[in-house]
Amino acid sequence: MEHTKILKILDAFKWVYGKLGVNYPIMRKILQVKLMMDERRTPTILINNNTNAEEGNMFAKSLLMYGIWGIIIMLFIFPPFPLFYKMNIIIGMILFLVMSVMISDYSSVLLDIKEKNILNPKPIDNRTINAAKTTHIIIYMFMIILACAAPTLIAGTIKYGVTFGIVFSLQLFLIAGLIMFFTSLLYFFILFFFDGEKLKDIINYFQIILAVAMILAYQLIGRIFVIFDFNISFTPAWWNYLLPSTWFAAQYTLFIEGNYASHYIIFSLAGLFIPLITMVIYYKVASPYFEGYLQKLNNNSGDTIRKYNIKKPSKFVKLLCPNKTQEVFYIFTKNMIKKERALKLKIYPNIAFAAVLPFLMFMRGLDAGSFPEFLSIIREGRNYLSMYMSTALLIASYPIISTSENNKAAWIYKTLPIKNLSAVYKGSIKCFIATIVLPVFLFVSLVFTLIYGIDIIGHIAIIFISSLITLLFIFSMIGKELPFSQDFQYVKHSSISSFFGTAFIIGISAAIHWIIASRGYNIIPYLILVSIFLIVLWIITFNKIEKSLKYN
Amino acid sequence: MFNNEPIINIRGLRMNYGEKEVLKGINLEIYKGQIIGYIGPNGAGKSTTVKIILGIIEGYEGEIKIFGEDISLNRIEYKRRIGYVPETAEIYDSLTGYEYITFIGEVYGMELEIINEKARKLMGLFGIEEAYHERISSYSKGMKQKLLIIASLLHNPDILFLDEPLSGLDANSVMIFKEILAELASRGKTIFYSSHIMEIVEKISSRIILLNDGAVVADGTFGELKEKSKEGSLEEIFNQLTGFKEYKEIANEFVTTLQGV
Repeated sequence: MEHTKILKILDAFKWVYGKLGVNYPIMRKILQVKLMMDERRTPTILINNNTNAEEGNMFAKSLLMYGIWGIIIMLFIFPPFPLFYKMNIIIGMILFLVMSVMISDYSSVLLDIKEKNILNPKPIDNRTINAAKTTHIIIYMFMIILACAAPTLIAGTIKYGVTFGIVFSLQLFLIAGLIMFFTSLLYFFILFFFDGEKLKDIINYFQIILAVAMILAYQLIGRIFVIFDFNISFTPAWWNYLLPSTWFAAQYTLFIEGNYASHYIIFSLAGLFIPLITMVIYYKVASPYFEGYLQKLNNNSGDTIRKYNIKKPSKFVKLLCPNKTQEVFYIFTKNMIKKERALKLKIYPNIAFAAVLPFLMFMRGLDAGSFPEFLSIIREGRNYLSMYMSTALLIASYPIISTSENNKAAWIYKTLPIKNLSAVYKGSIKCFIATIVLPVFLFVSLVFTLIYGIDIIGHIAIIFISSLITLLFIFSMIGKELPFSQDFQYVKHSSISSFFGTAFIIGISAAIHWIIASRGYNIIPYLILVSIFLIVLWIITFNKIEKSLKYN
Repeated sequence: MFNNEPIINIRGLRMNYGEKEVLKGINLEIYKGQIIGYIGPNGAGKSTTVKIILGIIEGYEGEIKIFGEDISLNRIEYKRRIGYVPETAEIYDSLTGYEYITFIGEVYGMELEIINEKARKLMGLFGIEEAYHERISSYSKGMKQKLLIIASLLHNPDILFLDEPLSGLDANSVMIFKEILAELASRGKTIFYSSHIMEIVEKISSRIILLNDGAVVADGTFGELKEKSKEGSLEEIFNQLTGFKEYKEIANEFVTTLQGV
């Protein structure tokens, strides 16, 4: 069996478990199975990668990712700022990363009540089951913390000496305890007030936030040193006392820089005692209660009989969908996008990224100084063309609409009397445009209109229509699976072609647009041209589908 | 039989999965108002037959006429008058019961208000009204099954295909459902019922069709089958006709193995 290394390390602590009254051989067995199952889980942090889901190694791969993040975090140790600031950032980042990972990927471990069905009927005492659970979480948290923190530990020790190494290592234990406490506290409060479904929603939001934060952080990391001015002197504000990263960072000022200002001492003490107290609270008080509330996960309280009126499709939907089948599939698609968590996890980060991507281009302009100067720099160029990038990102994600966790439920397409399958596609593609592309596009265009003035509305219209043309091309090239009928593997296969296809067609559109704009031609004829092209393409695309379906 | 035209008429139905021949020429005539118990061992081809009739599986040989029309000629229209409860409750369970049912109903061309009113009432009768606006993923197995049953009946179909429809239902709901089936049949609906639970098939079916290894090996009322095979229960008839006798030996060996080590 694998994982022998982890288990062998654990064997060294056998006596601790013995003291706690745990049946060690059985706990070891349970743990072995749990570790095996984890290998087959796909972590959120890898979700955008196209790695084939080979068995095993998934966790190793994600550890590598955390390691890369660890190296990025490490970079903060080098600039010549006071240690207090640097460590604040470093520990803050480690806390954020590990906590998010815990919530998004290990919530299933923390919240697992299915294992109760398997383990509790067997002659194993609760103490052993809980010990296996806790040990399991601790093992992973340590591996993740280690991957994030090891580069900093090494670099810091080289730069600041052994004291740094010792302080940092000890802190990692405290950080682990703190994360454990906060994570379960969060779950505890959610479960206290809401039911299991709400908790799953919140976990889903965290997963989305983590994915967005990862993508954005890649973009921002290089610029962060430029933006922040670390040379201001530090005077503690009241809220600094609430930041765990501050508590830990202060200990370096104390031990390495030898600055014994009173607030550093208070911070340092907080950094030592608060984690210890929380750990005691966690094991003695919270954990038994927590187990009780976990039961709520399964029971979805029937006491919420909400009075719902039936939701009639809005006028907007009616206008968009001329026939009933289209309308029905528009609503279906909307409900699925809004409700299915696995879909949200794949779509929402793209939406967030698409909403900010055009503006990331401006970041270099931020050095320019005053805001009016900055604005004038932007206005000189044709930055609004970066809206193409935003729509490209959204359109490339179109194949996701064909997938679902419950793709097997697609049997209904066969048994339902759907005469005209092209209406199904039309309904769902219109929904994709209206609920995913349009909101982001409107937001981005609003900002650009504020910058460039009302004159660019013509350009915005061209960009939007060109994007719809691209969407139709992508649809007829790869997107022709029925909505929500494929498993997620399908996206992995189609995403590369969808990405390059989109990039290619959007690239051409943007190039033509740029040529016309930069030569100062009137854009109205071009606008009319693309509009006609869109209408013709729409008709051809769906006629073709109707024909191909009739004869097969 | 009243109205001599069969409602389902299957002639020489054959189906291959690659090398394997799953259905070896099935002929069936099914009439209005019948409750057909469609039984057979695992892998006999029961689900395959149903899935072919429903258009889920394609590429069969032979002829299937439903309501007098060949389904390969018009693959859509007959589905308006058919309801189906699949064996495994695969369902878009991120949606709420309301969202799923209204979606299905509207595809059948029903009005939103009517679907809503009916669905709410039917769920109430099954005792799961409070879950109407909850996500289906939070339903228990029995609740999901009830939802699927309602979704399959909402458009008032003339033929109902049920594949192990009682799984997960409690005894009271089973009673209700059996009564519903009898009532539907008496109003001229045709029910095609496949199951492994012989006691229920024996009780509710007006005609039993036993499939073994891709061919029909028995077809008739329970009384007729009993007379032919000289066995007392459907279970025993089933064992006899599928050529399975050694259940005692196997059970014996099973227990011996358990105790041997």
